[in-house]
Amino acid sequence: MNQASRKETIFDKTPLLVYLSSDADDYFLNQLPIISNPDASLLIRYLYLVTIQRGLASCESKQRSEFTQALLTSDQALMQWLDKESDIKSAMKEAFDRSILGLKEKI
Amino acid sequence: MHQPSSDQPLTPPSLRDAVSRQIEDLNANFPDEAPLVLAAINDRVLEPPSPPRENLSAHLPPADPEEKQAIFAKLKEVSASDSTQMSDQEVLYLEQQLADLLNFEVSLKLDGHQLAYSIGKIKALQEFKLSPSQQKNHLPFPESESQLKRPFFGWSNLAPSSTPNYSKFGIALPVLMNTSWSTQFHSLKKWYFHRKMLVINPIDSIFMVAEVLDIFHDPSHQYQFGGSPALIREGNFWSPQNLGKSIVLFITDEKSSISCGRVNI
Repeated sequence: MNQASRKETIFDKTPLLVYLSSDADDYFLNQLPIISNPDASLLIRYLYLVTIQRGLASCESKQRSEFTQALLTSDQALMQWLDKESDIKSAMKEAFDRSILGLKEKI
Repeated sequence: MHQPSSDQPLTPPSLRDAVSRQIEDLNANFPDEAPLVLAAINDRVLEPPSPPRENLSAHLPPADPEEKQAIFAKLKEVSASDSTQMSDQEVLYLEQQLADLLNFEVSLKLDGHQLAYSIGKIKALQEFKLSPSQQKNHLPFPESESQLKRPFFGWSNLAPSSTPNYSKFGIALPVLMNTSWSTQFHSLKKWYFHRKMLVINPIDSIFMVAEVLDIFHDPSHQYQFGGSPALIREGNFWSPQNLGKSIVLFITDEKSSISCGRVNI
């Protein structure tokens, strides 16, 4: 499988991570598809855990059930919800950037 | 919340450790949302860090047929007794042997919790209604009826259409019989809801993984557990030979990596 099609496959089910990544920094999006597949899925799992936790921490109590419900429905549903909740989106983007910064130094 | 530290290379297995720490944090900081978040992530990640249970058997040496038969015979023997609990020796033997056979840990007690019955008869229930707006076409068996009442644990936040298998194999347990129920019902409800259980058909040697979706109480004491149509059907609990005989044990599934359904031996 070439890099482009692997990239498409890896992010097929995880558009939230693409949504949270900075436009200026495409390191993650370009680098991840060439990492071996099990490691890539571990990275994806890690990034989800970090960003979702930050999102939950930024929610008010009544927003948490909406956040969780959107996450359970699909990444697209959560992205639509985050478009309306810009503070939570910013917090998640910051968590994502910090994680990527750490990964960049170590991988 | 843990962030990658500068003195620790973030490559496997340290990345694996970082994931484990994040899961611990999630469980500690958001106990209500954690099982749902983990289920959502598992649904998205193409290859989880631990292979799903069904795939593990391919990497394991084949179990000795004689050992298997000894375990199956022990399960039949245990279920044939009139007791609703196993002796300490039987528990020790089965916990160890089943863990080797199934490749995940099972136990009679977990986190200080124990069921009033571990051996009993399972009753075929209607579909568990998980949401007030649940439609029949979201049910695993649309021809079956759904429970009319709100489940004891409350409505689930799960969307049945997005995770069709998540609620297919449900079990109702006799949690009301726990001695601590009257004083700790709030924490017990949280602890039990969506907990994974091993439900064994000891007569046909069928092993099912189901999740706790409701509380079961039979005033006549004829039945000790209740099961969803899919659990009863695929576990063969309905068969005239079995007549509902079942053994129920807790599963240790901290990473939510064990899928509900039949375990291939």
